[in-house]
Amino acid sequence: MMRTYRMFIAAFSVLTLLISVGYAGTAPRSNQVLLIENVSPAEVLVQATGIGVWQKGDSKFKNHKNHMLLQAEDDARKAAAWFIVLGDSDPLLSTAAEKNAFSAVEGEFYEINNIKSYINWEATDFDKGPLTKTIEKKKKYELTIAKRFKISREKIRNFLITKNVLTSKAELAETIGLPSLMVLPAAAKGQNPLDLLNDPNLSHAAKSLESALTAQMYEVIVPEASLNLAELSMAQMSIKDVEEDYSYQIALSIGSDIYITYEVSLEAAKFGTKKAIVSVRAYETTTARLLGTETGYSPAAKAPDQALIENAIQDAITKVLQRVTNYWKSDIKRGIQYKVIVSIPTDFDGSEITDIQDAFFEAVEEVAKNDQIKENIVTDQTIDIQLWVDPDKYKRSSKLDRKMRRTFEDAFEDGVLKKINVNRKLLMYTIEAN
Amino acid sequence: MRLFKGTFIVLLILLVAASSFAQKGKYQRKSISYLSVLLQSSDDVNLSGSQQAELLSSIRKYIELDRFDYNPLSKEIVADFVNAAHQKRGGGALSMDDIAGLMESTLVPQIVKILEATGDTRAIEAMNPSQRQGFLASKAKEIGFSVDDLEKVWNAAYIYVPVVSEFSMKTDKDGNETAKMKGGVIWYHITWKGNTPVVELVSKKTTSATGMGDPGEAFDDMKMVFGKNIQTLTRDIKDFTLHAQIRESNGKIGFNLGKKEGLGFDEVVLVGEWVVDSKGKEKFSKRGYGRVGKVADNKAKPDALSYAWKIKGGSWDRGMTVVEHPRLGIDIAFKPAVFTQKMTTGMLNAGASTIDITEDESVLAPGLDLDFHTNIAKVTMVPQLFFTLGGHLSFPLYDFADYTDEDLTTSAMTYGFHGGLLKRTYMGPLALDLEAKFGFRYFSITQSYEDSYGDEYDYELTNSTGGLQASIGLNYSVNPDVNFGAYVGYGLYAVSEKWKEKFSINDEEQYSNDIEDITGMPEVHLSGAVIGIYFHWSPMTLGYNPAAAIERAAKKNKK
Repeated sequence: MMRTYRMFIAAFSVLTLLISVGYAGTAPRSNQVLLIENVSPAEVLVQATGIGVWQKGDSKFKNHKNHMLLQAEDDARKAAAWFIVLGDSDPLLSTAAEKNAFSAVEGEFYEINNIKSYINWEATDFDKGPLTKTIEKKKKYELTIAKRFKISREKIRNFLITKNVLTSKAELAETIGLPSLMVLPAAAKGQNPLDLLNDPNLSHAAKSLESALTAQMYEVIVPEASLNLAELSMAQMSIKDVEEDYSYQIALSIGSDIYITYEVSLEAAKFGTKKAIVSVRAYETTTARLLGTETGYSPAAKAPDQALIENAIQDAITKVLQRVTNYWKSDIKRGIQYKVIVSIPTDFDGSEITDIQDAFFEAVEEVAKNDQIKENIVTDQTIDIQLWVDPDKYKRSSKLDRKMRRTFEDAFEDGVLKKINVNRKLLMYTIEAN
Repeated sequence: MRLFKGTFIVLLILLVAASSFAQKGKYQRKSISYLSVLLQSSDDVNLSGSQQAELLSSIRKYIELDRFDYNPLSKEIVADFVNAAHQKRGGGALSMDDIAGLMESTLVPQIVKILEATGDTRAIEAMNPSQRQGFLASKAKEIGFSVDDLEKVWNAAYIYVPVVSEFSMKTDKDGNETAKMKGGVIWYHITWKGNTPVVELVSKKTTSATGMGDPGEAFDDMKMVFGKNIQTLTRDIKDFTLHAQIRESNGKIGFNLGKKEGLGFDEVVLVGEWVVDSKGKEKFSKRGYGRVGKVADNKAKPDALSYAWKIKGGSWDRGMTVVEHPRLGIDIAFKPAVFTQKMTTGMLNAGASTIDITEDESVLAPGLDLDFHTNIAKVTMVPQLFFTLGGHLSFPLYDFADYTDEDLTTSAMTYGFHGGLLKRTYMGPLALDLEAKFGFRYFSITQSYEDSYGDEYDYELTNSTGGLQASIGLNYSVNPDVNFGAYVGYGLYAVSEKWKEKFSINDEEQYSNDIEDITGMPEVHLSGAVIGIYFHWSPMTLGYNPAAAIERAAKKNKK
């Protein structure tokens, strides 16, 4: 009885496996996909090529051309989805760990009904083909088509999140928080970017970018025109090369993790049409390091300038955001990054300065996660560093500030760390003698 | 050398036909400008002002197809063009390049203005479903069309110029007129080199037309024939041929062309697909043809599909291409057959001698019907329903040797005219034909002899009657233009007592009159079975109007 039961279980398992293999999808034969347009951060319009094959032995299909055509269409659908996940210049899966995790759910992902659920629109006509090629006469044929699809990047992302291939933004926000972003028009040295927002096109571009970012659940910090930059003068003194980069200063002053600058231009094209070109750059606030840059183009069209600008922004921001997310995910593993600037007054003598520096670094080492500290400038008057702290220990910058000051005070009895500016990204101090 | 030339021309035609078939995607609407000037390529062409105006109006009527938008040119602009043409021409003839140059300087600026004014609306219509999915179209709605949409419109402007190379008008002794002309239409395309419009020759289509009829009718007939021919030839120009992808294939094929483009009910569409040959080159491979069975109203519903049913071909699938196959809609049917008839006993006073038919005689009469089938499906909405008009000629095999002198030649023949209806039903490439035609038959016996002076004497007795003939045939569609088949039928004609005699010497009629006293004359029974084969051909153009030609022949016979 037991033997029969075991045999039944074994047979059932084999059958289940066969069925699941039968239903599981395979990766597309074709990887030829052309990005037509980022319609929105959630949707992409692509032209995907699909390949269908018939070979001797598939004779159960009476109409082998139709069989190949159906195969080719499914292949094109899969290729379109593959493009979003792995194929684009900024695919959803960027890390080796994500790609490894994806290989475990690949079969389920490429199951054709699943793939179809990501397609918001599919062209009825083919852009190319069907083009039949004889590989071996009467033995093997290949058929190629190309057609357009509007793919939901968001639905694919959700699938990957539910399968634990990607971390959801909500989860990311809950564990480490999403980066806060600030958007400003690119300005020449010495020019306040906030003044440029009087230009309706630049103002509209800012709104479009902010709209695209909030739609993606990012926290957007909007700088106010009345922002007082005077208090950053000390920081300005210590930072070479960026002394007139107001965008950087504004980002530091309001504490965005990343700031985005953009440039907009409109060009006349044929037949009275216009085309918008928008360059978008994302920077790490603490260092002004360029994280990603992308230029978006609207098609030359007869449409209002603002629609063209928005179209070009859609084209650029999707890719930039993917790079921002990738940066954030890798950077956040190190902890939360802060820039700390200490101004040491000239009142202190040489040995005191050394004591101050020692005490400061003792305080920094106390809070730094895994001793991750990067010294940018250490002089008798200025200390400029970056440090990464454990977000579980220091969820708020005020907590970090408190710990730093207390540790400093314990280590240096002749003075205190006096807070000048503390925000999500920047801790700015001076030393005040007791 | 002549054979070589002929072969070369045939090959050229085949190549042109193949290239016009090999098109991708869907037909994009074109806009055309009409130049109300009739270019006369020879000084021998003498058309009066009113004839020119009539001809231009007729050409315009036939060329202004639903597949086109129109860029009307003002009279002043056309006058500028004409003046410039006269100045340029001087004493010599204008070349096609000269005309293109003149168009660039005189006409194109106005066409560009029209395109500027209308381009946006046309561009919106030219947007395909994929373009409507883009950001701009969804965000900026009806004003969000791209340069690609506009480019389609701006690159779709054409100008046509009618040309006449020969024209003649003759009146015969009976007062009937015959009008003949040769000519065509030259098509120019406005293309863009950067931002400068350039006029390029696209195609020159020529045809000939003959019109017959009473005074005044012949010219009308000719211009109608010319216009119809030009229309078909225009539809066959690669840039203007309707084509689309097959969107549905389930016994019938569905495709997105319809009333908006002027797709015709019951017209032939060719089907083909793209394949990679052994050298890796893409080529278009024909996969059969079908007939349009339902024309979609895509003016009301842009995505509506028209349907065609397969006549011949392999498996058809989505993505294959359908291309219209423009034809005149008139088939020529050549129908050799064997008819039967009978003559009863009686005396035929045939002038030179009396033919004494001593016993009833049934004979076979080999001959043929030559019919013109005009497709009336577009009017009746019954597929493959034709109006038939034609003539008959057969030679009954009576042996008159026993009845007449040896020096006399006695011959008999039957001829006639008929009209009726033909209904064809396709079952794949095979088609069943049911035909009924009503008409007149003339049975004639002619006795001829030559006297010692060499003069020829003909004495002809003609018995006329009316009736009908019904037949059933089965044919095979060899290609979209040729059907070949066989038929059987039965003719039912009244026995007529209407006899006529005619006497002529050396083909000059001496007298012709009805025979009043027919006592003792035999009865002619034209009723009987018929069996034959037939060959149907759908020409692209026809140099004359068959209805007018048959009408004229019938009139002549009546006289």
